Amino acid sequence: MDLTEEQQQIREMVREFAVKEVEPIAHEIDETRRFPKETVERMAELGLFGIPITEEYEGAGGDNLSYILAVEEISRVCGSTGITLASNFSLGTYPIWAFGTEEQKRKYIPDLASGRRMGCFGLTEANAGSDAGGTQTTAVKKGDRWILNGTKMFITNASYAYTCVVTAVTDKKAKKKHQGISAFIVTKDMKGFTAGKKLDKLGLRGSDTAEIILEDVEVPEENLIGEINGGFKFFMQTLDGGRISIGALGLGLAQGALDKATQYARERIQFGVPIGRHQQVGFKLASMATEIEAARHLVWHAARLKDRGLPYSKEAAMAKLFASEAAYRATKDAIQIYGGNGYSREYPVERYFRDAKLCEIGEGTSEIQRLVISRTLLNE
Amino acid sequence: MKIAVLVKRVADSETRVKVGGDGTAVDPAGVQYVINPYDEIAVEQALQLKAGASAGGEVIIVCLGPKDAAKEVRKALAMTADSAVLLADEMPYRDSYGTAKVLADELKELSPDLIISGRISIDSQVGAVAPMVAQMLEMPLITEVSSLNLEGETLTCERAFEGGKEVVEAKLPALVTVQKGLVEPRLPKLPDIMKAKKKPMTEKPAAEIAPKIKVLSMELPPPRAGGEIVGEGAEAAPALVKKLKDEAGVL
Ligand SMILES: Cc1cc2nc3c(=O)[nH]c(=O)nc-3n(C[C@H](O)[C@H](O)[C@H](O)COP(=O)(O)OP(=O)(O)OC[C@H]3O[C@@H](n4cnc5c(N)ncnc54)[C@H](O)[C@@H]3O)c2cc1C
Repeated sequence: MDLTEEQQQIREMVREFAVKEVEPIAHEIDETRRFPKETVERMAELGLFGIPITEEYEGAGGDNLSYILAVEEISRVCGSTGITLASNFSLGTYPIWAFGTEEQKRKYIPDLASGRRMGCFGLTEANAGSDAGGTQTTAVKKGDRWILNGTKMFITNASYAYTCVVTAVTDKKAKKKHQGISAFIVTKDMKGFTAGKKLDKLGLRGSDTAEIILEDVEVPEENLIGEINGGFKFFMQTLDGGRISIGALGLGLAQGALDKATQYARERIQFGVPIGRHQQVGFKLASMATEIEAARHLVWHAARLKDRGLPYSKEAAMAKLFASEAAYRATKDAIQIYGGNGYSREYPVERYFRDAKLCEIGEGTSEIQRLVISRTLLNE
Repeated sequence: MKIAVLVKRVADSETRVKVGGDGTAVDPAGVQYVINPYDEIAVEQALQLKAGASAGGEVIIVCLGPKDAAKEVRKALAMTADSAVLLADEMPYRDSYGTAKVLADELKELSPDLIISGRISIDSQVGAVAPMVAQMLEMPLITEVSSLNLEGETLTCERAFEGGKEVVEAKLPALVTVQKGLVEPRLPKLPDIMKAKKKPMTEKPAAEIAPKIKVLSMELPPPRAGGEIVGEGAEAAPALVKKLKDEAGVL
């Protein structure tokens, strides 16, 4: 799986950064549920937030695969930091970059690509999860403004983001409910916008997940993304890209768990030999490594399709589905290889396991990925 | 001001190296390469001197190595060095003299005000190249520098050694070799990685120079034996002392 020299350089740089600056605090931010602002600042300095954005908009002018490599390498040491990066770009930045007007791009992208400001994406609501078209947030036109009301939940980076791309119903009478939804850019400084309660989570505890409450928020007309009632396809396409990044999150976590388990299997002696020499342990490592390699092929392949401008929706769903489930199995088996130590919070593998579970839920559950894949198969 | 930095590509210290079939060199299969860590410090120091120089400056990377070392050279460019010369080496083995000769000939042409290199390369660990280059160019040489200050044409360096230090001064042009702790090498920023490919990198063949020495054999250190926990707390001390005396023979 050849990488270009630049992709290799980027991967090595991010790996070095991850090992030197992210891994040392990974346990602490998980334990204390602390959002590591200093890491976000460093990622901004290193240019990680705008990898596939052109230089004109203060990005690095790299490709999508390079961005995916960055998410993978960060997640290899810390899932929380991995999802912070992945959400900020794939969900917070990409919809404006891909579907925004030139004016919207000029106004918001440089801040997001340089990391001066963070962004988030508000799709999920209490009654609109897997069924993302079930949005109850409303936008009502009043003069040249839209008045937004509603509550979004489970929004990554909500407490720290300046921009939030939200979906809202603009036509209640639409024949099909997804034909009446639009996407808007709202900002933290708009009156009536509040980031609410932070979610206390099983894993990814050093990442921020919170509610966004919109109370009579007046949004200027020019903040509508694309055409009116056309929001559904934008966020479906946003999720297609986001899924590759969640695949990379799972891939990184799985690889990190394998690295640790391999090391442990070399060092831990039982019955007079390193436990890796007991076939049942060695074969576990072999299965983990094989699944991880397969997941990497799928994730990188989907990223490359996107880079080439080819359709990638099905491949992104497959990559996310497989990498997430591989991550779940690999992190579970890493705990098994560590034995009692694996169950202990003194060792990192239980954190990987808790973090990996999210991959099967966020940006469409595994069930929804199977639904997406089967639909494309049956319609093909 | 023109600063040249000597950069060598070495096997990453994290790689599990093996000795190759002929028993005189490292087997290249599966080896990950990096910039010699001391040379990375040299690059950083050069960049900081350039940034601090009111008249600006230029940092040129000079590397003797296989063509593939282009990747490591490009990393130095991504750290924001200005240009590079890669002296592509096709010789299977090159000794310190041959290395120094090729570098010195190139440096003569570049005529930098200051040359910086790492104190030693972590693979062959000879540490002779920089001193030889200084000799060939008839330049002052200051080795193992732990702090460096440049005022006009005057270079003042601290050389720390066990329990003490020495402060020395020299006039430019000069060659210094740097020690750990001098400066912390930066991570290249992503936009700079992207820009590095557009920076000038001249590749030319390195002259073949017959080595004056020959490696007869190479051996890896024996694998470390497992440790032993004698006991815990003060009660364990006598048993530990006995073992250190009788078995390890270190007391
Ligand atoms: C840490 C975290 C971060 C998140 N970040 C964001 C974010 O930044 N922005 C955002 O908008 N959202 C975000 N989410 C929300 C996430 O995308 C949703 O939780 C997810 O899509 C599932 O929706 P739900 O929780 O409502 O579950 P539900 O939709 O209620 O699903 C419950 C169960 O039913 C199954 N199910 C539902 N429908 C079907 C069906 N048709 N067929 C088969 N099974 C079905 C599901 O697979 C699941 O197992 C985040 C969630 C978490 C936990």
